[in-house]
Amino acid sequence: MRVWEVLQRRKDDWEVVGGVKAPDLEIAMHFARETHFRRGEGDTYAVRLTGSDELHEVPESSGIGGVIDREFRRMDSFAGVGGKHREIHEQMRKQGRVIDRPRPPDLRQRRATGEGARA
Amino acid sequence: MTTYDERTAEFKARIDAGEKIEAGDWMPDEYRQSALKFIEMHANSEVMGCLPEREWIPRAPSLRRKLSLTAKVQDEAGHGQILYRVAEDLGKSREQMFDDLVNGRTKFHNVFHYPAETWGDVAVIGWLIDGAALVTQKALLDCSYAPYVRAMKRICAEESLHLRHGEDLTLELVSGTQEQFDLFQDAVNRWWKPIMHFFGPPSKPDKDVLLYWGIKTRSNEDLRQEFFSTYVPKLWDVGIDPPDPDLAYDEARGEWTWADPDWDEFWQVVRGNGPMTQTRLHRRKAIWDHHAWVRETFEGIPAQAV
Repeated sequence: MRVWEVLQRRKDDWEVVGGVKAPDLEIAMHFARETHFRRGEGDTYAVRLTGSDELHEVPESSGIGGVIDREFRRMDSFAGVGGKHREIHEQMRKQGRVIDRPRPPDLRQRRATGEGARA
Repeated sequence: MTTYDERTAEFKARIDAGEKIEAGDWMPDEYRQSALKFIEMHANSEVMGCLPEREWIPRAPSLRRKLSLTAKVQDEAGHGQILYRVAEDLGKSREQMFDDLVNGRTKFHNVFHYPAETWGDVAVIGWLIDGAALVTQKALLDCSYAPYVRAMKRICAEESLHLRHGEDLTLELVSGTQEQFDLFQDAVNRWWKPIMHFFGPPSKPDKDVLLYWGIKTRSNEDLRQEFFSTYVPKLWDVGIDPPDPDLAYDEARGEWTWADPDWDEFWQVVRGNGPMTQTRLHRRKAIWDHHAWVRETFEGIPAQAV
């Protein structure tokens, strides 16, 4: 088994994002896709044997992340969770079910006032 | 000629200066062993973490929930693969790591030694346990070992999605019927202590070898406090009360107080005496054995060719 570096390209820049161990190029490509590109990350990807300069780019990048509908894998399929939380909080407040105890200042407030801002 | 101690001192100076270490770089034995043990345990935990949720895939209440839970479990298995690859470069084969795991010679996170009894547990695992994991994993983005940092970038991106998935599950339960609300509160009651254990006992930062080498960059207590600040107000907002009467935010000190849980249980569990330890390891070993032919094919050895 050989070690292959996995590279991702966004626009013009190739970046090493990890590695896989595979007996040949075909399986290395397959492992790279399954471990690093299930969600269509980047524009395309490639592998190269450790110690080699030769990049093997995936022949058909349009298939990265799968071609069937996989909305459950995507962040935007859970869009609105924050809003839902606020809505339920508001309903519970009206019902008197919220647990009202001292808590740290809200992060957004702290940011707005500069308190807790990272140097 | 440079001595081992001098090289170690130079290495430590690189870390203190914020430099990252690559797999091919020289490193002291203590660094290599500490990083390997830590990353191997992380990889083990990702793989073992699949099992409690996997048990609920057939019983998910809708197709959408089934698909998203399946995708999440696949992500966790993928994290295991990525992390074993990182750990392998530190000098231990993947086969040996799996062998040590299924035979109880190495550890995995305490939370994966417990049963997932109800769909409420799936929500707790998806939101609060993944939330606790994300707090610790984000801190690892500053780790001194570069291949681990690259792995954590990928893992944190996926864990952020899991968190949404878990919060969505939670909100569905707390805003549903009283029975659904109670299901989630009950799950929080049972999981709170394991979550407190998850961050580890309060440690002395100056004695922590992982902090010394920059493999970890923040103390157990610091991470637990961040977890409280992020998640306890959100739980209170929706009427859920963690089962710790001492849990309170001290405004004057700017930190949370909490009841120190029973650490004997923690040590028992991580040493392999948790309620589900043997069942889960047995399951893991069955999967490992079942897929032996794949590894043998890859190694070019015909399985039982006679």
